[in-house]
Amino acid sequence: MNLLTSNPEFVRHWRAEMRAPRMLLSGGLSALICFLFAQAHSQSVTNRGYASSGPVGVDDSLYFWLMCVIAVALPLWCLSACLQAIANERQMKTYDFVRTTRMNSLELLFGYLFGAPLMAYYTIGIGAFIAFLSGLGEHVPIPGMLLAFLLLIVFSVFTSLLGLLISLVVDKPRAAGLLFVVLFFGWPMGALAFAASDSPFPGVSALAMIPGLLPFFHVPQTVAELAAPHVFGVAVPAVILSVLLYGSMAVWVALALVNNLKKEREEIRIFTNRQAIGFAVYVNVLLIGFFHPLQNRVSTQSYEAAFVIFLIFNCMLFYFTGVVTLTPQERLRSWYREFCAKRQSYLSDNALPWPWILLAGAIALVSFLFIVAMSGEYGQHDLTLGWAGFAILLLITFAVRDVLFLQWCMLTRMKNPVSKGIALIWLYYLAVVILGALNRNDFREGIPGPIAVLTPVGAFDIGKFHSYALFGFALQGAAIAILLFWIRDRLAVQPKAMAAAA
Amino acid sequence: MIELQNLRKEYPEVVAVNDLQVTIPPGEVYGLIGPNGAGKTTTIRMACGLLTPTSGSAKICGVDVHHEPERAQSNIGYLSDFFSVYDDLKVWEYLDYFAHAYKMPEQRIKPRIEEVIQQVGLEVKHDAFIKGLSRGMKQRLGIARAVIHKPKVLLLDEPASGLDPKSRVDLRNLLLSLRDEGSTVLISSHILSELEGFCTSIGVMEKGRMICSGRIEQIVADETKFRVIRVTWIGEVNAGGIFGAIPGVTDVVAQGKEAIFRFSGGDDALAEIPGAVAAQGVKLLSFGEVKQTVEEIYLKLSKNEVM
Repeated sequence: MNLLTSNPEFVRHWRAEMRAPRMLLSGGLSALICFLFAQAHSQSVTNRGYASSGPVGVDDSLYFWLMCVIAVALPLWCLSACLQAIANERQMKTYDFVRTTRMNSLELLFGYLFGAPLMAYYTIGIGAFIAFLSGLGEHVPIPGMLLAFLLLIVFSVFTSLLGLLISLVVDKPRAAGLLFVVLFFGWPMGALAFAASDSPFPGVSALAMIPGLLPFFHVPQTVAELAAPHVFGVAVPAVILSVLLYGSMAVWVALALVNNLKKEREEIRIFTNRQAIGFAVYVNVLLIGFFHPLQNRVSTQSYEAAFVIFLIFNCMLFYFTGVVTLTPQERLRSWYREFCAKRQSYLSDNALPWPWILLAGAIALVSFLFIVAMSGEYGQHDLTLGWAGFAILLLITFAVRDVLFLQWCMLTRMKNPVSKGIALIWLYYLAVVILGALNRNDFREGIPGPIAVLTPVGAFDIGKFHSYALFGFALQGAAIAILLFWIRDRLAVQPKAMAAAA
Repeated sequence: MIELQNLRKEYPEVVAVNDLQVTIPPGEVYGLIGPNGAGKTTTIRMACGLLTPTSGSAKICGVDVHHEPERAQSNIGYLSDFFSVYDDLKVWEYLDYFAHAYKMPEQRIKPRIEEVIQQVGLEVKHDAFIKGLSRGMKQRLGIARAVIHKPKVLLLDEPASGLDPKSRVDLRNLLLSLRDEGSTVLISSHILSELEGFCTSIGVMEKGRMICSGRIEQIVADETKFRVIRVTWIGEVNAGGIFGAIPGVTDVVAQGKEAIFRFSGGDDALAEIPGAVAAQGVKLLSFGEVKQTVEEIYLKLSKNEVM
């Protein structure tokens, strides 16, 4: 607690937010909303002629419905508050003053993390207390309630960190940005995670918090069963796994923030190269840990399906590794000068990102070997080590091409080059998919040619060395060579000795 | 106290600051002048650790700002041109926040807050919310924030921008008192009259380069090949003929009972002029050197870039 009360940034937020009239108003509103919920609940129970005796079911639990509201409101409010925190300060030009103080990045992070959403914690906290009381009245187990609160707090801290990171990186995050994050990442990710309980990696379902919370309510046995993920073959309560998962992911986001909180926006680099590789190892260890081949519950579970899921995760990881290791233009130029003078190598901190994507690929291959060893089914399917290597290499080739394109964009005069570059890459893939759809006849024979050549989907056609994919592989190699040539060209141009606008 | 060694900052396709080399000794008030886009702001942002230089180093009190930022920043007070303050805090809360952020000893914070509030003349606003302050008051609060931790070095980037004339005078007096307390000040401006009579040294920047740097008297001496003399008299005088005949005098411009001319001799020769013209029957009323302003020096040094 002293860590917070002695943190100037937290104290500033406390003083600004927690003025008595504001606290009274927010607390009163929170209590009023809970009271209205209680009234509605009571009315509903009366209408259905429910008589209280022993634990209640989900439909009749005020605690459950209050928790549902809290579970949505708290993370969203935290995300929203943190999303504005740094960007607003930067716009007001107060952030420079904060950066010139003696507070280090970690102190700043603590201050913003718990200070910016302070009103959210206070207001929702009142609702949580009322929910806790109603849970007691409904005989909900206390450890269960405490675990649920713990999970919510950990998840809210995670969303707060995510909000801070977006606020640090993006120029003007607005409410639309929040909506975008929630609609295009939050809920689909949650839904996918929930569906993962029906996959060879059931532990991924812990990303959706609901499976963790279900055992604390009277839910149908079949649904509750889904919430029993395994980590390295050991069954772990979903709620514990969710806490650990979001806790560990929060540590990674916190690391990215600590790396960059005191930096100018143009100098931001999410992770160092080694940290990015550490993250790749972390995700692959999670995948190995979550892989559960002996759990023969559903028909879709198969060795191939597991590998496809594994490839999808690693494909995202290759792109992620590439994007977070993109080198700011100025540092890349410095590296190039040193590189030309033979004082730096391709593996230097400020070099191009492609060697690190290759390294992430090597990690994926090692993980694949682990998964194969765990399943004990090697040689019984089309999937061989050679083919796995090819699939990973194909994904790496596309990731390297796209990341080098982003790096090239950063060397142009483009404003917000990374965002625009990503938009252009999306447009490219969209165009290829449309082109593929126009060749509908090809579908009968598998992946349409244009799609196999111009996208990495050939990597997911298990066990087949698709000729189109091989051609695509060669084509991407050529594209990479061209991009490297263009990048070298840009780096070779010396900046003019002219003044920039102050 | 402030050492900028080969400081360089490159942006896409331009060099904003080009191998800057400046040393500012303790107690000096150094005015960084130059047109918009000369690289002043970039220099100051690098000097206070906000911006990483492409190459070179910035040392404050012997500490490298980029290698030991937190240690260096304990000696730096920074103020930029247009800025906001936390409107939802009270004046004392704002200063208290920065005092703690600079890690001042707890027992020194309260007296120091009272001291700087008094110094900037905001005593009556001690408990007022910042949102109720005028622009000038907010600027003064900004200065109070910059000096709350008694920094040895003040880096001020166009501190008077957007202020009304009275607030400018207040700001100037405040900075003069800080100078008298022994702070080293690096202040940038493109409004030269702001720096006149306040700076002890100046540096003229253009296109990212320092084209001239040093103490004002030295620069004046170096850059002026002649002195400008103004004389007044009573009676009728052929000014062009009398003054024009004196060795070292050129460009005599006479108007009524006053003349201005350029003199390129030494002090002794200059001292002999009143006697020489008096011997020719001229009744001198006044005789003196016209001191050149920083603005005039700047115009001489610069290549007349748009200001």
